[in-house]
Amino acid sequence: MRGITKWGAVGGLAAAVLLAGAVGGIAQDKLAAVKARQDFMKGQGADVKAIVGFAKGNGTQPAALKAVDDLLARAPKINDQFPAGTSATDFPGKTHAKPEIWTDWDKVKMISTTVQSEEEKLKAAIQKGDKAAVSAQIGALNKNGCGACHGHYRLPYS
Amino acid sequence: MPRALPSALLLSSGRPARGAAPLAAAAALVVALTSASRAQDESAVKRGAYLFAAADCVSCHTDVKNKGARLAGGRALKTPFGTFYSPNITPDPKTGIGTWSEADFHRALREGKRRDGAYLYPVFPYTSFTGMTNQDIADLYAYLRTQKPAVQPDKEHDVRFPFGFRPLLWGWRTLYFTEGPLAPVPGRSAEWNRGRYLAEAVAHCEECHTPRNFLGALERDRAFAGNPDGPDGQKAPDITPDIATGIGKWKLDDIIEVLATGTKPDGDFVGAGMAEVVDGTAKLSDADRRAIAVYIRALPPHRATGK
Repeated sequence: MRGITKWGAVGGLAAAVLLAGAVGGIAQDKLAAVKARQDFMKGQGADVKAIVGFAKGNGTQPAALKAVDDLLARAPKINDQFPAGTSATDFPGKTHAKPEIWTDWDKVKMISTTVQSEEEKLKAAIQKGDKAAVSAQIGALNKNGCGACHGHYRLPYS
Repeated sequence: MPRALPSALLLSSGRPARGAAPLAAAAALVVALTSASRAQDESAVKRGAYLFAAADCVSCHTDVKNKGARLAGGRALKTPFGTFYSPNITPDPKTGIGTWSEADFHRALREGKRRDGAYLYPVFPYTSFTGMTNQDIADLYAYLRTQKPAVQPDKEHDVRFPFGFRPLLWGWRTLYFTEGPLAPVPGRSAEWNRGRYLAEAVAHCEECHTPRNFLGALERDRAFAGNPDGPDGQKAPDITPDIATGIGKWKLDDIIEVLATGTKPDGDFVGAGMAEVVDGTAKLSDADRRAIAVYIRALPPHRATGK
């Protein structure tokens, strides 16, 4: 009896350690996903910066084209950046992603589709070399695409 | 008018009877005056539309969330004093401001008073609009008159005790309200003064970006230092040139870009309330966006003391 209890305790402890490890591992994975998302977004930011630079006359057209191609390559991957369990409630202080992203998932998916169509228009404007049109299209991409999410689904930075 | 006169004379078949010519001339004059005033109206409406964009009236006065009609009000504005609901400012005569005269409208913006003379809550930023010129207020009125009327009765504000008692606002006004218009500051450039006028009076930037005291009044000595407890619980950042908490590292062009497209220097987009503001500032002229940026860049730096 005593032995069984002892072994039960050891087994229980082992199970607990394993479980904690697994949970910890999942948390680690999720945190890695948060980091990956932030890097992904920063990459998009750098692209936008290059395109704005072109529109303002301190960047080149080839650089802007490269940037918009990168944006277009990223657009279909936006949704994948938001695995469940990576909200600001799950990781307070580590991410600004509101939990509403996952409850409004259909809306979010629609916005990322819009991001892609606005980016295609942006590419056309860059190809034409029309800087005013590029600037206007950056505004449209912001309003209907990126900004639509950042306005509703991102906690403000202090 | 010179063209209208001869043709009016011709109509009287070459042999005008006595008195017919002056009559025709008078008629022509009336036609000319009417079309002149219509042209004037049209340009007033156009100027008003521009100011309307700069002031971003549409954001607060439209309940987008609940698919409300444009400018029909009803948007909930949560503040530390309770929830306010914006009123209907369409020209609907019953539920909007269709029966308001230009003087009524002028008084609301300049003096912060309702048509019946009651004090308006400063959640309506008359404390900023008071700085607008008579001409600009008249133009804004002209523009609003041309908008589509929508029937939607105003919602009662849901304000915490004791703030529901409007006469208390008398005291508040005595302490914190200075009636405009904003006078240009001598010795400063025309561009800076234009920027100040747009930022302070029309676009009412301070209403979100300046911290407020316990009575909800702007702490003007810490202007633009950010408000951790802004509208709808949003944080409005410090936009003074403070290096640590403000935008001291931004170039003039960076501020202009935010106003034009909402893009921040790192390529990120502004979110929350500012995205709505950019909808309006995107419609301004390059010169006006530049003027605002010049004014903002020249602000005295303040370190944010946010939560």
